[in-house]
Amino acid sequence: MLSLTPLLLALPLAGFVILGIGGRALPRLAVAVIGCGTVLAAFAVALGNFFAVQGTAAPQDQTLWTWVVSGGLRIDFGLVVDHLAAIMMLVVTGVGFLIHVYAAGYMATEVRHEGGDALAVQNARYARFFSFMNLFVFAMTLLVLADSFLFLLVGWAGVGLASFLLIGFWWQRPSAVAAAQKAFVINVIGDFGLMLAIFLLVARFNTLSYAGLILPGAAHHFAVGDGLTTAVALLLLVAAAAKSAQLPLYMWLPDAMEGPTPVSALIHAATMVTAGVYLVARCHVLFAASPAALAVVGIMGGASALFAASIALFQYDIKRVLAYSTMSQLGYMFMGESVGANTAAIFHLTTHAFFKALLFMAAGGVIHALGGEQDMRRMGGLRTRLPITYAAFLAGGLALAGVPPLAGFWSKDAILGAVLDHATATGGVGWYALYGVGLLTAILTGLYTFRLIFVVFHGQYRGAAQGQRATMPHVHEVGMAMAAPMALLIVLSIIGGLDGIPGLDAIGGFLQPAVGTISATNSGLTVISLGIGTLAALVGIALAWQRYGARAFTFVANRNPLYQLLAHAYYIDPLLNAVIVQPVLLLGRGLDRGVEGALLDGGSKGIAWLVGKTSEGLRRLQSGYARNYALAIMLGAVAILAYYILKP
Amino acid sequence: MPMPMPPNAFLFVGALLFTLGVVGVLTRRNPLVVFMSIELMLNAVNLTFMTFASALHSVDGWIFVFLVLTVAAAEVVIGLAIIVSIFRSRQDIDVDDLNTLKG
Repeated sequence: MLSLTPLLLALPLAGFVILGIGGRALPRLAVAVIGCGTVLAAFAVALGNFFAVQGTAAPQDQTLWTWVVSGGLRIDFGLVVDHLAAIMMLVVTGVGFLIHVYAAGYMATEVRHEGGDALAVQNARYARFFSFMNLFVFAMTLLVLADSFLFLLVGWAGVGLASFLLIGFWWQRPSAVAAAQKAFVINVIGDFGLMLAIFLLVARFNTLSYAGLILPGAAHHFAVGDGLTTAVALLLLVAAAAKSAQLPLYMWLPDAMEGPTPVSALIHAATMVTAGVYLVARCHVLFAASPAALAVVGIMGGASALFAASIALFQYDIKRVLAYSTMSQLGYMFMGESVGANTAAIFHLTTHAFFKALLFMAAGGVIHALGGEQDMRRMGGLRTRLPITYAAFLAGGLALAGVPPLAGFWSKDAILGAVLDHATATGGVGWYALYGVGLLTAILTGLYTFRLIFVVFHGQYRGAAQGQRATMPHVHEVGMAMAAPMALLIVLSIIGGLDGIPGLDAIGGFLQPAVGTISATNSGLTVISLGIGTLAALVGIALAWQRYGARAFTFVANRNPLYQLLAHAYYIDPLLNAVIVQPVLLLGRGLDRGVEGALLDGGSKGIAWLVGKTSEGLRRLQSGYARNYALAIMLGAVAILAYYILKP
Repeated sequence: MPMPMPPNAFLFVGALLFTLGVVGVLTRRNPLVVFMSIELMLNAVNLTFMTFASALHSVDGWIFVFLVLTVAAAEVVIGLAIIVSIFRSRQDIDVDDLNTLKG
């Protein structure tokens, strides 16, 4: 089993190299087959691993080679396969493969719109896109399979790089470039947190391997109440927050929607943003030893969930709504992890990958049908014209809102149930508050999801200019390559949660050896929580129906300050610009003039001036008269002789 | 058998010739005369070498003299060639006019 695991890394890497070097010379079909084929083959390996780890207890750690031996520090490059990694690999390669297939259809249209007129250029862009996508899958597999924090960091940064390349894929658009830079900078903040955590671990334990630190049977233990434990946990949390777009490092995610829609589906919904959730689950031993860090995880998750859901209420950009909902759902996962319900968090991660990838695919279908339009104010009534996309949106939306028996219901309510259970068990007011936040977020989720669906697919088409009769342009349904993955994901969004039904809880039992488990102290409470969760989702949907669905809805300017606050995402971006970006630019300009200009340039120019002046003076000695030189030689000889003669 | 002359006399003559040569090099403007002065200096050194060689009963000095003579011959050949070519191009060989190396 383990001998095949390196293929999970090698296949996407090979795809990246082949397409990156020779892709522009290949026909488009070959590019798509290579791009999708490597991921499909990796999925087959992941499937093999998934069945192989069943029934095993200990993680399978396969050391491939030794990377560094320095003093007492020894770092091996190896792959760890346990239940957590097996599930993660299934999600990354499985959903990743479906998105690759979708992209094969989507990008064919996209390069025609954005890639310029020349066919050769369009083909080159097409190949470049798939090579970057394969690079992303490679980085993500490295992140998940690495068996030490060092190679986790390599994958971690590699994912950041791949997302930078893909967000800025249409680099001729300044907004895309700005979004890519924003994502990169914020991700590097997270990388920095991870790096500091690694430094602390090396300084204290002199090892970075999971086997020595966090896997069962590790030689070192993280003591409860040890300052180092909390410090490492909080630093890892910085990394997790940046990757998983949680407060306060979430700003890159909404802007990352500048990338082509398959990128949004792959990176910013299904896989990359889950890295932070994975990290916390992977290090659950560490977090369990630090109640303070767990509390921070809970606060961060709850705040992010509510914050993002409230912003999503009044966004106009169809992809931005989904982006904020991603952030909100990731908040749920962190809430689950804060009460130790790692299985529920990973479960939600899996189902979320299904329905969020589906929603992004459907959004891409809408955007293409309308010729690149992303503004919901110019959509409407698309239900009859785009039946497949509508079905996809409906299934994804119901799953996202958490309506039983769809996937999102089981996983989200597993988290809410665990939070409520923890609250009653500990009696902490804060945990009850967290549960309340979760419920409120569930209501908002139903509201914004169905606002999106009602506005886009129901009612009248709003795309016409002022005063014209509202006639829809020629819209076309998605092609086969895009419809097939959507159909599969519709099925998964509907039934994907059934393996987590309370009582059966197949996924929880599967994950239990890897991430530990908490047994519900009160199973009756879990059932009650399921009911409350369903109610919350239905309330949200009902509110959306009452406001946007029941009668014809038109967008009008709304001067309500609360509305303005939410529609402008709490004015965080302007604030950030004023408080951080502009001062940094100002500092940079000041340093450019003061230090670079006056001090460094001035200094080097001064030295050059001094040398010039000195040699100008010395130049006068060169008279050009041969006799002067002869005299100098003679005087020199006399001086040397005099020295030896007069020397005592 | 006549008394051998004392070495100091030879050394004195050598020093005198050397000084004459130095003064000639430094004061004359005709390169041919400068050359002759250099020859004078070289031969003053040769004389000194020979004096010490016979005084110390060593052949080292004699060998040096041969070397100096050889080098002096080569130097004259090259130097005269330079002087001739300068004269051809400038019609004038005053050393004080040859100051194109002035910084």
